Amino acid sequence: MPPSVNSPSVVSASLAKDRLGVMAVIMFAMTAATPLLVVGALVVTAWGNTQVVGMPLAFVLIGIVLAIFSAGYVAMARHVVNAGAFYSYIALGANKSLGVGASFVAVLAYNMLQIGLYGLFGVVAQDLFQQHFSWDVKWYVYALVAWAVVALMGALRVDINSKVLGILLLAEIVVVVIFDVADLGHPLGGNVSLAAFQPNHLFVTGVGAAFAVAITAFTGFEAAPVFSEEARHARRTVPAATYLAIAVMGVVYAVTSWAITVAVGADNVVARAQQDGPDLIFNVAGKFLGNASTILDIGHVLLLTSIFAGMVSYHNAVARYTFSLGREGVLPRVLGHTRARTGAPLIASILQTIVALVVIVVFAVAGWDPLFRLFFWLGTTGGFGILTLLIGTSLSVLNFFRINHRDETMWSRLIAPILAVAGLGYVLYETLLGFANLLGVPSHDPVRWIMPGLYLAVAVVGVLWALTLKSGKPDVYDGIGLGATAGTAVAAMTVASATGVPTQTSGTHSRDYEDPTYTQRDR
Amino acid sequence: MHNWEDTPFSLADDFYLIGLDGRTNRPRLHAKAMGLGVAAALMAELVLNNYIQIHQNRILVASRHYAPEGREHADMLSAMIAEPQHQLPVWLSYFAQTSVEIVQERLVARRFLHVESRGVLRSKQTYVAEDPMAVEWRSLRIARLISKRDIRTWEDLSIIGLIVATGLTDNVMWNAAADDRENLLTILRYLNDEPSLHALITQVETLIAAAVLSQRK
Repeated sequence: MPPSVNSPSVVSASLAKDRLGVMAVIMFAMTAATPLLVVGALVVTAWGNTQVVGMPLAFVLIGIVLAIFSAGYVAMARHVVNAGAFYSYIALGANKSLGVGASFVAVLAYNMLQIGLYGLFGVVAQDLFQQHFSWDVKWYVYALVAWAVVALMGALRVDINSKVLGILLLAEIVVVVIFDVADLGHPLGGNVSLAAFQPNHLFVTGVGAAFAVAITAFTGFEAAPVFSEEARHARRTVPAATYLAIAVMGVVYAVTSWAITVAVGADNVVARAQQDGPDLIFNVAGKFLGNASTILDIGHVLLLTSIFAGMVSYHNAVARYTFSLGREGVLPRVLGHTRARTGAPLIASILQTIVALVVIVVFAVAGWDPLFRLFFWLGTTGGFGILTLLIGTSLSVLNFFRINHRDETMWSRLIAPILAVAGLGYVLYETLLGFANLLGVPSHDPVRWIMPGLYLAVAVVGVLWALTLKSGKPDVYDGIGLGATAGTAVAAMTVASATGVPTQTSGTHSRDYEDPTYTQRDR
Repeated sequence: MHNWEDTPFSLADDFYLIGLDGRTNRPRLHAKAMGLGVAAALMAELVLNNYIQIHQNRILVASRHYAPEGREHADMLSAMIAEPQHQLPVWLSYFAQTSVEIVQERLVARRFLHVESRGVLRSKQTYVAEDPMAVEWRSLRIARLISKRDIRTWEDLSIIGLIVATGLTDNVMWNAAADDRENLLTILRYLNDEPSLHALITQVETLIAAAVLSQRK
């Protein structure tokens, strides 16, 4: 007689030891927060480029919308495999062809986010080494050094230790808080002004650009469901980590960018941003911190490590997406291979590395601006791609729970996704309207359509490719969105039962279990 | 020195040795894949001795079984009888925690490996091959079988399946001709005749890929 379901399981207990604890998942989600990168580089460039002062308010609003979005997102994560990838939600919640379109959008978006960082890294490193060692080296040399290290780490499957990332993040937050206190302690004109939070500083021409920048800044909040099947108490841990990441990012980004406007004055911040570039956050606080230049140096170094960590993280995201698509047979299967010695998705990793190299070389040869063109254009356009995926995911969540509620609350499966679609849809509309403003080009410049249009193009190619698969290779089509389990018949059922509990419980009832009396074969 | 060319091998021992570099005594596989591969091989030994079958990811234990001779098999079997609620992925992950150690001990007992203490304080225990060529021979033998398309046992078929599932193909077939790759495909199709082995092998591949996607090593 098999033991009852409730008796403690030796096997489960033993496997649980290998699972991630609450803190590990939270730390992982938190490391997506990069205060110096976002406020020091992204927001300052946005102020200079789009002239929208109200970035602090944009962070608050986008943070709220993303928290609402996450309700449905983490609810559906409990019912899908490969829960770390947006396209899986779309493939399983809406339809497989749209899923492939979404996967191509995601690969493009994460590539843009990753490659854009090389421009920023190059510029920041160039300034730092110029100042301290008088090295006269071009930005792309630093970018290529970073590229080579990322390439090696990806190919060898070397991760930055999560504790190291955690300590770096903590150090970054300490530095940012010191800056904030210094800034807020020395307000321009003597009064701490809340002007940057006033709607009239955000809802101006180019509000869409500010929203796109804010979405870009929050990117990474979506990572925790990767551990849906790996974390202890995943049902609570994954949502907690997601909401906490959004909250911390929202508060740190909003307060820090607000503090700068307090110190230099909301009306002067655009001019100062154009003048100082990524040094603004350091210059402003430096004035009040007196000769404590050590903290500025620490800040610069932390900015570099933060950019580097972002590069590694996005590189791995792209590699995982292409690996997953290779496993499913949507892209060539060779992309789905792992290296025996390391388990690295080697070919997928090398592919991203090559794409990044090509872009860096093109920018270096053409002499294009690494900060505005490479970092800001690609970064924010990458964020725009994530925005489209968020909307697609919310719609898919609605559809996924439409017929079978799977014991999720009405808030998670219905109300929150509808609110998210409305909020994010408005952001998308404004962003498209203000894309020229975002890129800092004249409104008739074709680039304003080309950049967002790239997503439409790859999405259409993805859908058409999926439809070709549907008629030509129906088994491949069936596996779309299943990630690692694709291609194996036994795992075709990805969506767990109505209880929402993963597959290993489906044989729990003793009546389901029978001793077979199969004939013993002669061999 | 024993005559290793003719030594009969159990499946899991054989797979472990194929995953080992005989000259450096370092594994050719990362730890996760090695653990899962050897665990699947141990389970395949139970399948091939008619103790279990795998049906739709559930483990079915033969009703009139005799206790297996090997202690490791008896332990595995009683674990699966005690907790029938778990499915194949759970069992593979569970057995993978100890599988490599079990097989290393088996190979020490058979005098294929011995233990050496290495490192500064001699604190690191390393399993060292008695005869590196004997280890290399395990891979060469399989490469030859593939080349000649001469698969006679389910054990060899299982090993070839596990080699492909864990990504060892290039290590084993480093010297292979183009035809051999074709042979490999033909050979693997025979796995369809033995659903339990098929399930074990595809599940190993799935779990290795899942580790990539969930960023776990």
